[in-house]
Amino acid sequence: MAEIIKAEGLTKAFQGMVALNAFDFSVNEGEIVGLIGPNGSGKSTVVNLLSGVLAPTSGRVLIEGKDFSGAAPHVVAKLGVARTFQMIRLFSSLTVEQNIVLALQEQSGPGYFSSFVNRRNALAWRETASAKARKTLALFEMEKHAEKLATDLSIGQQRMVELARGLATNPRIFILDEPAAGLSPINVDRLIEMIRRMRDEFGVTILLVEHVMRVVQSVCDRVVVLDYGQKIADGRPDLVVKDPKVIEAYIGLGRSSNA
Amino acid sequence: MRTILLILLAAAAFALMPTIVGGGYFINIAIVVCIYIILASSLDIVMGWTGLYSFAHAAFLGIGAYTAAILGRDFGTTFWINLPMGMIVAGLFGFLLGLPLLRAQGHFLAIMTIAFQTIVYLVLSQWTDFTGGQYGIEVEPVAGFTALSSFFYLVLAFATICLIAIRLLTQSRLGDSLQAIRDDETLARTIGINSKAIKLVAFAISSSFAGGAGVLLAYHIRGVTPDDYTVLASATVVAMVVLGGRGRFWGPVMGAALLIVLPELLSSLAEYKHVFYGAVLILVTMLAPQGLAGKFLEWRAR
Repeated sequence: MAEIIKAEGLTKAFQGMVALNAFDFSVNEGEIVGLIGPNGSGKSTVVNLLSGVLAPTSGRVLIEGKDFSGAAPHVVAKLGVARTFQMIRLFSSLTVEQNIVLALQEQSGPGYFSSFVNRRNALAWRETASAKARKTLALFEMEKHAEKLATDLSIGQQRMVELARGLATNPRIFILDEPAAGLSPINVDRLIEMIRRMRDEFGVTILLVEHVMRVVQSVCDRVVVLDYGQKIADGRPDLVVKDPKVIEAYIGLGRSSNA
Repeated sequence: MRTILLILLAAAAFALMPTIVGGGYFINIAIVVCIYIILASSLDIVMGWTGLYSFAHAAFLGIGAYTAAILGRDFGTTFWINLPMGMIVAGLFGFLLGLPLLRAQGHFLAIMTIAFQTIVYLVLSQWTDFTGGQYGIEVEPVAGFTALSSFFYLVLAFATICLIAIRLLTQSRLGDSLQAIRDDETLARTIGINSKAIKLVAFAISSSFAGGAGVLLAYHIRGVTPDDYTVLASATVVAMVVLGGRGRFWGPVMGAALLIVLPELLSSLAEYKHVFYGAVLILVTMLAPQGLAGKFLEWRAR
């Protein structure tokens, strides 16, 4: 299977503090890979390195076999790497639909100059994009909120809009940064269903960074565990959770030996 | 489309003014209103649409004006060459100022623009050989437009073109990207917007319109002196945008018209107009942070 995204010896230090140390891993096409680890283990650093928000101190990021270490986020985005954020990010002065249309515009919209000189064409494109945005929103049962300001929605609804924004652009890989954070149990069920559907119906490759073990165990094909910036496990979810090193990292040595 | 039609209608109505109130005094005010409408609307590209507070707009006004004056003095070029040259030179300086600004945000960015504004003023007033120092440079009136009313039509035509161009720009993909950067730059970048390039382009375009306004101002007052291009003038343009309403097309237009006309109406106020502008800024920020245009939309939504 083709590797969509791959990290080789990826290292990030913040003023001497090593947040991620010689991290090797890859996500194959069509896989749902979970990335877990205790707070401060370096999960968000991985997401930010892969999406170009941070540049690595050393090591490489390969996207479909090509080196894009340190490339700017907008470059990485154009390659088909979409992401969501732990603290939901949506454009606050735009409606739900406009939020998605804007993401589509960056992938397939008319150019800056063309949209200025050929308004008719730009408006026609916008109609098609709006229709596509609505269709994607319908999938998440959010089409009735299309005209609302994104920030007027509940957290659960905003999370769905973030997912719709990524899915609408047909990403090669979709990185979800703690999508269950702040969701009620019912919304977590909904999230699990939608992550599965994105892969099964749309063939989207997914990297899922998550705290909530229920989500990881029910959707992931494979789980990678980080602790103190080091990879400590990589394998099937049911086996990884029984790994003594993982138990130690999550619960602590003293108690795990008593248990 | 409706807005562009409204711009043309407003310009046509404005064009009738000299035949109704013929006095030179009124035409003078009308010319200054047009120039400041260009200034405020172009500042709004960076201030309202992109959310970058710039207190350097009068510097670009000055760069445009001095480009025209110096070209005319040293090379004898005409208005029709000086106008595009003033826009190009101001646009270039806007691009150059944009480069360091990419590294700053919020208050720090505003302070850097004030520093740039101050440097430009010092160069204009101190480099006597080149700029004429405090005496400035004289500018010959535009050939064929020496009569005040015909010059007014020239300024009105240029302002109309600028407003239509700004409208089309902000309605194009550029406007979407600017808004995205203003709302959340990190998100804008992760969906694929090259925010640095877009911000530079916005600065260059905005400055170039200000440069054009500067060329018109130089020909209007038939000369350039550094004291017309101080940080106070910049703050006035900021006040116009804030009063009118940031990021709304008619906001800066209304703001500019009001802040030019009001001090003239209350002529006793003219002497204290900077105090007046300051008071307006404070009151508007407290009572109507979205400006008059924002208040109007609020009122209509009810």
